[in-house]
Amino acid sequence: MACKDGKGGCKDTKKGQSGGKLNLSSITNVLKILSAAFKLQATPVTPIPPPLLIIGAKLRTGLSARNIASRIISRQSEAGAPTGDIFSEGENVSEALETIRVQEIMNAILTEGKVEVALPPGSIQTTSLGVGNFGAPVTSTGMNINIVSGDGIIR
Amino acid sequence: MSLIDDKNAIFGQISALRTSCEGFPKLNLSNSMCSMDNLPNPLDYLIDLLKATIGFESLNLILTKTLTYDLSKIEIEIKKALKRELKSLVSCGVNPSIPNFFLHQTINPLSTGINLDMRKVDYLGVMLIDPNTDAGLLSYGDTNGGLNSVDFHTYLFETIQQDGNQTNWGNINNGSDILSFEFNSIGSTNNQLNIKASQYYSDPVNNKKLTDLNNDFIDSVNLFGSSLMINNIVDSLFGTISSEIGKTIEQIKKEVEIEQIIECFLNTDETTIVDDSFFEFSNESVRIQEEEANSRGNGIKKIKNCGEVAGEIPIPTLTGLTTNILAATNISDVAEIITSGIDEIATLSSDKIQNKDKITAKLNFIDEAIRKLMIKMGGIILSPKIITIFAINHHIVYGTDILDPIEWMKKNKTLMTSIMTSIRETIIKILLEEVIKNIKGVVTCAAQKVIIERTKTQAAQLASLVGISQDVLRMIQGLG
Repeated sequence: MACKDGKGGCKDTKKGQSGGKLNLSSITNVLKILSAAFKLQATPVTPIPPPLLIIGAKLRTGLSARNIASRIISRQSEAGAPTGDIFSEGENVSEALETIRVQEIMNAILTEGKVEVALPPGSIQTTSLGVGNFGAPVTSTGMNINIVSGDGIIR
Repeated sequence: MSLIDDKNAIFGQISALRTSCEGFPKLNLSNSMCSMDNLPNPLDYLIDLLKATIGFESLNLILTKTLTYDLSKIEIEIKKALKRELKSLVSCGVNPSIPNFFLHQTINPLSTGINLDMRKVDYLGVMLIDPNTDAGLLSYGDTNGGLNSVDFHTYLFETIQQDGNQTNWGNINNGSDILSFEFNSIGSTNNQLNIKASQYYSDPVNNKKLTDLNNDFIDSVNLFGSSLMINNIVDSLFGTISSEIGKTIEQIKKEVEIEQIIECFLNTDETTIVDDSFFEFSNESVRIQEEEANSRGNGIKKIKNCGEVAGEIPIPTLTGLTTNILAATNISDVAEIITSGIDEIATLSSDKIQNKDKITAKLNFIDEAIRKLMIKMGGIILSPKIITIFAINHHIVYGTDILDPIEWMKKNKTLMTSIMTSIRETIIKILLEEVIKNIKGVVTCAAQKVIIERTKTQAAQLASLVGISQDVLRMIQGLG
């Protein structure tokens, strides 16, 4: 029953494989699947009530590089790093480096950092009271109708 | 980004998440991970990822799950591929009838059947082992069944012992006989297996076509069994059974050669061109094959550990495990037995290794076992239970016998690729599920920590706005 072309003479009637089946033999697909496994939906942070901000901001002491470095160094032992001048060669280099690191980061934040604020339309409300013609009181209200922006620094 | 950067990125993300989660094994990313390269093999990468992140016990469970619950799924996929290939071989758009010369002698007294050389049907020498021995228990299924065994290999061995008497296969698993076999050790050509369609399939009343015969035969054979696969894996790594039965080095070399060819098919991806180079070996490959054949012939595996040590698995370990699996009454018992069996084998394999390297040795054993499992699953198509039906159809279509299984594989690259792709994708799916489960665990843990941290930070921020002291604020946030 040999077919003339020696291959069975058959046309493949099976429909081509296409469509949604994911090719797991492809490293690219496998890496995409693995990367997707790390994604979690992020939720925005809860805003702090503005009245509290107004009061509390006045109480802030401002950033201090030395204070931050001190706290890091005091907690070094939690990570198993040696603390204090225990090396025969001299000072604890990692502690000195930590201080330098924090000072430079703080310097950049305090002297080069900038805070930009944008307020949406309607966020600034005004009310004014005046006297109109013939001494009659006149009240007017208003609000910002455009986006308002402002600049600040970090202390 | 190159592949190696993408691969490193995954490890980096896991490592970063673990810094905030307690209770997870430390990530162990070492230069010995051969998958950290630009090669597109997802299998090696997933195994290395699992070795680094979850450790031996979890990998053992993956292997157990595959050997217990997933073998049947893989078998279904392989059988689909086999049936497709047989159908395309014989059917030219029309379902062909069983040729007259292949009909049973009770329907066509002049039929000659098909004569196959036993050496080509049993290229790997399965029939050299007697099912009624310890080695036979490890190599055959249902060894007590004799001619009524549900395992085709046991049935075929018993048919060979009948020498000159015709027997039938199929009734036990199919409800009716499918093929009739007669082994003739002496004849115009010695050691020939004469095959005809059974009386039932030859009878026109039953309206059976060649495609029905092929499909029913494929359905009637069991391709895999848990204990057989474990024994095959251990024999492939340590030569336990080969040395017990005294297999010749030449015979073992044939097996090693076929395993290397199958491994080439296993490592293909969508960009690989499958050609005859898969079947050619360099001088270095031949040297490695000879070395491996020698080791297996001696029942050992050479393991590198500050020099070389010889790992071996004694045969009573395998016979004990096989007996326990066969005696188990439900699948969860089988899974438990396999888990402890693999642990015992891994421990024995690292027996001569220095203590500090034992864990690595056990991980390497599991790594090799998973790869050998896939190779042995692919190699099943060269066993008598599958090669027989292809040899029959080849004879019917072309009028000639298959040359030898390696030539047959060369002519059937599409089938080999299809089968190995099914096996590879099933294993990758299992490994990927485990990796994602592990990643999700770490991601969830890290997300919980972030939520707790944000809540504490918010509380501290609110408190800082009403003049609470720094000491209290640090206590709220849990800082030292």
